[in-house]
Parts: sequence; structure tokens; C-alpha cells
Amino acid sequence: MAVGSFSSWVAGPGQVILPLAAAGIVVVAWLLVRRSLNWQFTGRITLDVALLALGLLAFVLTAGFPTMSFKGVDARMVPRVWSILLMVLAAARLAIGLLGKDVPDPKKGRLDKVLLLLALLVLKIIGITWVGYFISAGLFVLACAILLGYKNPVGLIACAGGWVAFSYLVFYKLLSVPLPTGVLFSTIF
Amino acid sequence: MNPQSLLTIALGVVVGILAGAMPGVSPSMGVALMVPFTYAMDPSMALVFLAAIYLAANYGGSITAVTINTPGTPSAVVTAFDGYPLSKKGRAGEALGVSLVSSVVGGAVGIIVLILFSGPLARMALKFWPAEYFSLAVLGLSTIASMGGENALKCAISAVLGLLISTVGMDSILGVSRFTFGNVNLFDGFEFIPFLIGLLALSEVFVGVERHDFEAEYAAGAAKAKWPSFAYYWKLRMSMLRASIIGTIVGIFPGAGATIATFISYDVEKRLSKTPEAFGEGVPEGVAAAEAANSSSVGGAMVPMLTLGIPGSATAAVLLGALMIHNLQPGPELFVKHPEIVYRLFAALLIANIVLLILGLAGSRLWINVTRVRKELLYPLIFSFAMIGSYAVNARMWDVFVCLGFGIVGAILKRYGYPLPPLVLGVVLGEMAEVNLRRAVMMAGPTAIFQRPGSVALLVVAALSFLIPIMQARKTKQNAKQNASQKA
Repeated sequence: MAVGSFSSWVAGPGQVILPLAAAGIVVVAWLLVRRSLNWQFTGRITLDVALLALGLLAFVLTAGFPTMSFKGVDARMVPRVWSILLMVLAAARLAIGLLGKDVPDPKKGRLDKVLLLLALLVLKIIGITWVGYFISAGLFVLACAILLGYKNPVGLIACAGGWVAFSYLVFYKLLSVPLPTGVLFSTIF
Repeated sequence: MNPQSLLTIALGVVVGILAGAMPGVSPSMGVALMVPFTYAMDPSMALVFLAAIYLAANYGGSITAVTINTPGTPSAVVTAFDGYPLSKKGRAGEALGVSLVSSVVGGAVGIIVLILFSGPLARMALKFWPAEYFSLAVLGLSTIASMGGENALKCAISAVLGLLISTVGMDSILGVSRFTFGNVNLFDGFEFIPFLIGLLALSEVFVGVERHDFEAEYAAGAAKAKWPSFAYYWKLRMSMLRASIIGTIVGIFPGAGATIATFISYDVEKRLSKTPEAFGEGVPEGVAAAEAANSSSVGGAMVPMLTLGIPGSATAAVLLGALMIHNLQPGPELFVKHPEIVYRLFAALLIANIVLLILGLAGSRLWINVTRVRKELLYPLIFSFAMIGSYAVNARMWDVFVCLGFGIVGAILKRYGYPLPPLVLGVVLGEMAEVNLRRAVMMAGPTAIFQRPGSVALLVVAALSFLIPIMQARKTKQNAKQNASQKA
């Protein structure tokens, strides 16, 4: 493939295919490491592979930048330097992990809670679009505190209500931040 | 100084103390969370407010260090060495008093140095060419070595990742779109505040939720303890002074930070003491050394930030970002174009120090109540703060996603021991390094940075600054190994 056509491929379909390929490398590395003798370093090695893949992805993507230059200096020079550096450093870390000289992965904590928290955040963001900021923020504080194990109903209501009042007074009124009122309410009212 | 400024300073000091006292909320996180509140303020008032938070947060961190052995900030770790044993002996009032007065003394010394040396440094910096600015950025980046000690490789990866992130968006010299994937939201790169809040605040919450250890300790008795007299503090004057000088000097070096300053000062005091074996068992000199160094480093860290545009600490990096949001470019030109802002800041910092003393004494009982905020309630509020703070930047949901994304990235990096301050430093210094390197090469060819003596000198200092902490860390590790083998 000629250099010119490769650049246009990177600037075109490569923008989707290359990140997917990098993600694929990371997933394959994760699957391989967890079944290998180095399984206790799975997280560390996968992260180092991800950093290496990120460096490689950034380097390849620079090929798609327009070839404009001024006095021999173009926009690709510095990102290429950083991506090469990232690849070299990540490879050094990867070697430490693969040779088993690293410390084992930290113990898994309550990842279920983290995932539920992320789900709550996604719901909050969807909620902001539909029912507006104030209702979804109040419900989020309430649900998040319950998820984390807080049980006092008075404290829960005070905290959620306090946050809604605070964000309304300080951000909406004082700082004039246009917080979304939600599609539902803007249609009704 | 009008009543509005005084009120802003007082508010900043209160917020700073509360932020510093809350474990999990670092000074940089406290300042970052408060940046959205400054949008409606005029730039100088915003800077005064944020600087007051920075100053007070460094003291606030010592409250939880003394009372519940949980340093509110990384730099308060050393305060806990002797502060907590003093509390356990029923002398919490002494520890808190020494901590407050030492903070005020240290803060004053740091600010005086800032006032005396920022002007001459700024004048010198005006003579800099792009090559020198690039070398200066390298000097700033080289200090990542002291941020991670043995983890120099992880620090370097973090910093390079930050540098790479800084290249996202339109190239500022040729206007070329880079790593934007056709997304218009990325044309200006990642918005700094959502990036920062996500990386520092949300990552901490994610890690905390995964750990799920919400058992809070209470130290109600500490506030009831007796506070020391003036004569008691007078006996500690030399410890405070020595630590203040060390803290200021260490703070001036970009990236060195308050934590290193506290360790050095504590070590010096221990070496000079007639009873070094008592250190760690509850010695007021230990608390005084740690806190004076901690607070004096604030003034020190602001010297390179204001004069050269290089942050001396993670919090200074956040302040730098906040200045840019208000269209102020830190560096020598700030002294030429906006001298009123610089001198207002100096005056405000001195007043903030006095306000800190007054509020610290008056509110001692109140501050301790901050430690009683349960994390089950604190975390949802931090999330809400982070979300609304990110949204408020441009009133668009994209910034909320950026905040969340960097929160997840930060949590993963943190989980595997990658320090986050170098990443922030990389993003902050990335554009400065790139633009000046390219300008220098355009002006004088590929060897431009080696053609000017100033640039070469800065690169040599950068190399030393990078290598010395790594070599010291290795030496300490080898000594520890030797000691262990001798004992065995």
C-alpha cells in the first residue's frame, strides 16, 4: 500500500478500525494472561498492554494528519515523540510484569458496588435529559447513599434535599448555570 | 482590600480547612472542585479565593492527622507521626495548637519569599526565548522523579500519557486537527476542569467505593483539650523557622511539593534534637517542623507558577489551569500585563494567613466535626459536585462524560500504583513544551535547544533533578536490604 493511500485510510475508515483493533489487542491480552502462569499479574499486564496499544494507536493515527508543515516542522512531530516514549516505557513495564518481578494485583474489592454506582451515574445522565437536573440529582444522591449503605432516612432526605437546594441557589440562581429542566417538563410547561 | 475581598478570603480559608480536613479530599481536589464557583468572579478575586483555599487546605490536612491518625492531605502524613501520639496521650490541644501556629508561621515565611523573589525572577524570565521555555517545561517534567521515588517508571508513563493527552485537539501552530475522530467537542482538546475533577476527585471516590471501608473514627475528646500558651510556642520558634525555610526552598522547585518538604524538615529536626529517639512518640517539635514546612511550601510553589508558568505542586497546577480559564497567562507577562492582580494576590495571601490563625483558633471545635461526615454521604456529594462543576464549564453534557471517563481512567491507574500528579503535570506542561519546541526548531533548526546557554543549563538541571531522586531511592532501597540481611 502506498504511503498516500495508507494516510487516507488512517484518516478515513482507520479512525474506527484502529481503535477497535487496539481494544481487541487489550481483550486478547487479558484473556491470555489470566489463563497463563502470570495470572496473578493479569490486571497489571493488561494495563501495560493497554498503554502500549494506546501508544501504538496514537503513533499510527498521526499518519492520518494533514501533511502541512512550516520550516520542516509539522503537527505530527511531537505526538509521535510522546507516543514512541509511551510505547518504550510501557514495554519496559510489561517486561517487568511478564518476568514475574512485579507485585501481584491488588485484591478485588466491592467491584459490584462500583459497577452499580456507574449504572446509577448513567441513569442520572439519562434522567437529566428527561426529567431535568434537580429531580435526577436529588434521586441520585438518595440512591447513591443507600447503595453505599447509609440508612438514616432523615439524613438521606436532608442530604438529597440540601444538595438540590444548594445547586439551585448557588449554580442555577447565583452563577446562572443553565441546568437542564428536562424534555418532559419543558414539553408540559 | 475591600469587605468583599475579605469575605472571599474568609470563605476560601473556611472551604480550604474543610477540604483539607476531609480525608480523600486533597488540596488540589478542593481547589479543583471550587473552580466552577469562580466563573462569575473577576479574575483577581477568583485567584485570591483559590489561593486562600490552597493555603488553608494544607493546614486542614493536619486536623485529621492529629485527631484520628488519618492525614487529610498527603503532606500531613508527617504531622501524624507525632501529632497522633500526642492526641493519644490526651494532648490533642497542644498538637492542634502547634500545628496551627506552625502553619501560620510557615505560611508567612513562604509568602514573604514569594513577594521578595517573584519580581526579579519574572524580569529574568522575560529574556527567555522558546528554547529556554521548552527546557523549562522539561525541568518541570523532570521533577516527576521525586513524585514517585521507586516508581519512577510509572511516574514517567503517567507524565507521557498526560503529554499525549495534551496533543488532542487543534494544533495551535498549524491548525491541524489531531486525535479528534471528527468529534467537534474535541477540537479544543479536553476541557481542563472536567479532566481534573474526574482524574483527582472521581477516581478517589471509585477507589474508596471499591475498598468499601466506611468505618469512621471519631475524636470528640480532642477538641476539649487545653490549648498551649504563647511561651510554649516561643520554645518552638527555631524549629518552625528552620522548617519554614526548608519548606519554601523545596516548594520553589517545580514538582518537589509539600510532602517532600515535610519529610526533609522532620528529618533535620530529628537530627538536631537532643532526644531523637523521642520523635514518633509525640514530640511537639516534630509537629512544628512538619506543619511549618508544609505551609511554607505553598508560597514557594507559587514562585515558579507565577513567574515562569510552571506549577510547583499538583495544587499549583490546578491554580494554573484556573488562571488560564480566566484568560490569565501565568508567567513573566502576568507581572507586566496584570501587576494589580499579582500584588493583590500577595496582599490577600498575607491576610489569608491571619484569617487562618483567627478561624483556626475560633473554629477548632467545628473543624473536628468534619471528620464525622460519613463517607456514605460524602461520596454522593462529591459525585454531584463533580458532575455539576464539569457541566458548568460550558453548559454541555460532553464535559460530564469527560469527567466520568477520566474518573474511570484515574481509578484504574491508581489501583495499579500509577501516580496521578505526573499525569496532570504532563497535561499542564504539554502545550508549553510542544509549542516552544516547534517554535525553537522553526527559528534555529533541530539543534535549537542546545544552541542557547540558558536552555542547556536548564536541561542539565532537569537531568540532575530527574536522576538524583531516582538514585537516592535506589540507595535507600539498597541500604534497607543490607540492614535486613545484616539483621538476619
